[in-house]
Amino acid sequence: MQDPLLAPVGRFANGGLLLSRIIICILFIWGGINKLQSWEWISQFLFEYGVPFASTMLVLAMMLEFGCGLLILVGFKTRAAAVVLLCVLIPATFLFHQFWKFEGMYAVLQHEQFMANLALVGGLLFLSVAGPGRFSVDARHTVWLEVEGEG
Amino acid sequence: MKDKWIGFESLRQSWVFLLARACLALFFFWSGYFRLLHWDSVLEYTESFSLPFPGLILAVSSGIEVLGGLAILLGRFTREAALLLMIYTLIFMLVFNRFWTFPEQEQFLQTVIFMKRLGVIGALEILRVCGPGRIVLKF
Repeated sequence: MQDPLLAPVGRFANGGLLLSRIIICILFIWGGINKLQSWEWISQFLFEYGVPFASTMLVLAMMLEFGCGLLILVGFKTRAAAVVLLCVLIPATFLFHQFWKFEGMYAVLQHEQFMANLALVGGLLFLSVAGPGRFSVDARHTVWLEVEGEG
Repeated sequence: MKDKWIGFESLRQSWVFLLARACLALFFFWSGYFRLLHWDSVLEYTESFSLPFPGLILAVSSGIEVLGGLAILLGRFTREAALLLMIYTLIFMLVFNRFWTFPEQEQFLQTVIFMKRLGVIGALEILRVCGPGRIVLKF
């Protein structure tokens, strides 16, 4: 249920939130599908790292990423989906992009991935607070009032 | 001027926004800082894209990133900085991260980077729309 206290104000706020949801979801939906294609080397990596139940975790992560991406796109339980995605993204970042362990060019690449994931974490935090806005399943029962003035 | 912000009634939400702003700002700070630190090798890489004035482009991009990150972190001129960084990231993606033009070997990595920058653009869009929250630097 959309929290009425967080109703976006400003002319393009709701449209902006819809746009940002669409853009962010491209990443996560692509990521979820892509794990299916990169299955072998990710499983291998997890296995070598000693993660228990590697295949199960991978399936879970893939489904969560893809599913929460869809949820955010549609705007259903957006805040919860954003938090779940955070719980998938943060451990994955610390697991796969350990730039402090490497040297040279590879360390730079991993560092770049780590920082990009950090930015995505920030984006998800924004989303978890701001909510989906008006063009979403969450807000279908909210009454939106016209505000006079600077609006 | 009255800032059009989403009605943050709870300070806790502004703290979350501060944390999220710090995450975004860190990304841009690191990016700009790294370019300035390893100027020569990055310049070499930029030159391989056959652009005019690679040094100027590099300097301007580092400046935009550091200043934009600062604006986001401090919460001052945040919406304008977010808009600027969105346009900058879009141009950057379309020039340097065209994954379809890379050879097979590196294409996956470039696609990942492209997608992640897309996510950064989405995050900046939310920031642009919602504003920085209530915990900002006032001067």
